Amino acid sequence: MFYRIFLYDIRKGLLTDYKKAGIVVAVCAAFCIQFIQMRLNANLDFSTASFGDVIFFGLSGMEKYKFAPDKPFVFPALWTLITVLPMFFVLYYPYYDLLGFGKNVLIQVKSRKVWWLSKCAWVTSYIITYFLIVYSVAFVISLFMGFSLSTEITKATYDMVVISSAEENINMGSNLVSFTGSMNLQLFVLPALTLITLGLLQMMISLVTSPIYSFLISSGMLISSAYYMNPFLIGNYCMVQRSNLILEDGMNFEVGVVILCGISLFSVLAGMIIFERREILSKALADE
Amino acid sequence: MEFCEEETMDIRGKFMEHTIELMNVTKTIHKKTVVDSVSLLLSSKEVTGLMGINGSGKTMLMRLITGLIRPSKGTVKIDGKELHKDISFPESCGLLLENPAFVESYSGYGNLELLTSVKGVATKEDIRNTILLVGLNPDDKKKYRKYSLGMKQRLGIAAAVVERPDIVILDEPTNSLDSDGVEMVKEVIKEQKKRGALVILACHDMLILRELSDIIYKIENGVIVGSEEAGKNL
Repeated sequence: MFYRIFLYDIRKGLLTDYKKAGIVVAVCAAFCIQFIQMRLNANLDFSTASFGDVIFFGLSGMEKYKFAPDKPFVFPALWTLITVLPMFFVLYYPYYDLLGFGKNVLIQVKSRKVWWLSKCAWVTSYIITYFLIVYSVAFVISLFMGFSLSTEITKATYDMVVISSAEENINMGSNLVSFTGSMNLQLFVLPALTLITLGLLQMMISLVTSPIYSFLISSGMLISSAYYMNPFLIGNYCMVQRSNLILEDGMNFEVGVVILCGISLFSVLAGMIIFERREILSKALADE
Repeated sequence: MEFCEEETMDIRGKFMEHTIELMNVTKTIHKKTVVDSVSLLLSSKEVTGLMGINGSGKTMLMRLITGLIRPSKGTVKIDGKELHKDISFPESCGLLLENPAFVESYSGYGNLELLTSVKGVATKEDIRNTILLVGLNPDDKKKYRKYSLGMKQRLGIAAAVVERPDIVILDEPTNSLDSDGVEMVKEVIKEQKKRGALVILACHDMLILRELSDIIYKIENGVIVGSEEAGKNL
């Protein structure tokens, strides 16, 4: 039965949402164009750039922020857009499904646990699909622009993104570790894992509040992650620039995986318990 | 005469296949009692009508029977199995509750195909026949978002009966329907009864309820204040 309801969720909650892929492509194309513009401004040859550079640029986030009177907090708009967008995309489907014929489906499934687990699998699939689109667009643009298709980060891009920030930030320069071009796990695993965790947490919170409040909490966690570098503000794992491969006191991959998997497991189990007791009411009563 | 194992005998001496038993069921939401000490015994091959004004508790009673909400007090038993204890939901139940909402970008057929894919018991032929039964065209490619209110309601009724469930719950099925649509609803309900389903029908129109129901319960403020059995007065 799980397989059937999961397929139903994929069809109803992912495949029918195909128009949103256009938004993802546009956002991804925008950061690729910004990357190209930055290289043009620095008079760097396109043939020396790589596919890994594009992803690094898009998911770099911002340097570790330390308050200083002459250093205002600059909001990482591009990174926030890339990370908040999937949180918004996965916000309403479970809620509206239950207000519509999802009620019939829940009764057919005859198990609230199976229904909830299917929604968790749906969130996971949705966010993986989101990142596959992001990576695919960056790959196609890299191919079109004549970049190397390697996932390695080039020194020139590292200097552009990290060293220029470090020079501007007197608090940070001394904390940098020696450059390594290979950050595949930080580029291709941690961002998706972080947003899957946040998506599951958001869905669980929406069971006890409402989708809009849960969205405010998840996007608040992402934005506060930009402000504070802390292992429990999980947005930090989604910022490649804050990896311990860049910063001495940066985020550790293994610790990140343990924390993210722990929060994911908690969200799935807590959601299962909450949904067992959840009343399926009309919109008006549910919103009260 | 031989009876199936699951058949039981009710207090009126009729043999039946399925029963719904509510015992002193009370539901309180946000400190307001919306269903108050309701006790009912419903059985297969009967249409039970629920009558009452908006907010009287009809829909809440239906939600309690489907397992979507839990009683604050009392028990709901389906075929002797207690909801939320022995089972989470009725074994076989089709429902139309409030405004049906389907996938906007799918056709009527596409929506029913998606809905029935979960249980996998309805064939393509069943889906086509049910769409025809409610007066829609299974070959119509028109998307749900372009459906009129009446067409949406017809599709909602089709969704409730397409898998030939043992229990059929219809909340205001004649909403948004023209006179042809109302006749269609009557035919659908009669067919469900004929095939042995237990039908619960909430409707504002007393004439329709009287025509279709074997027994009608009148609900006021969550309390059953009267009943009418096949033509007798409330």
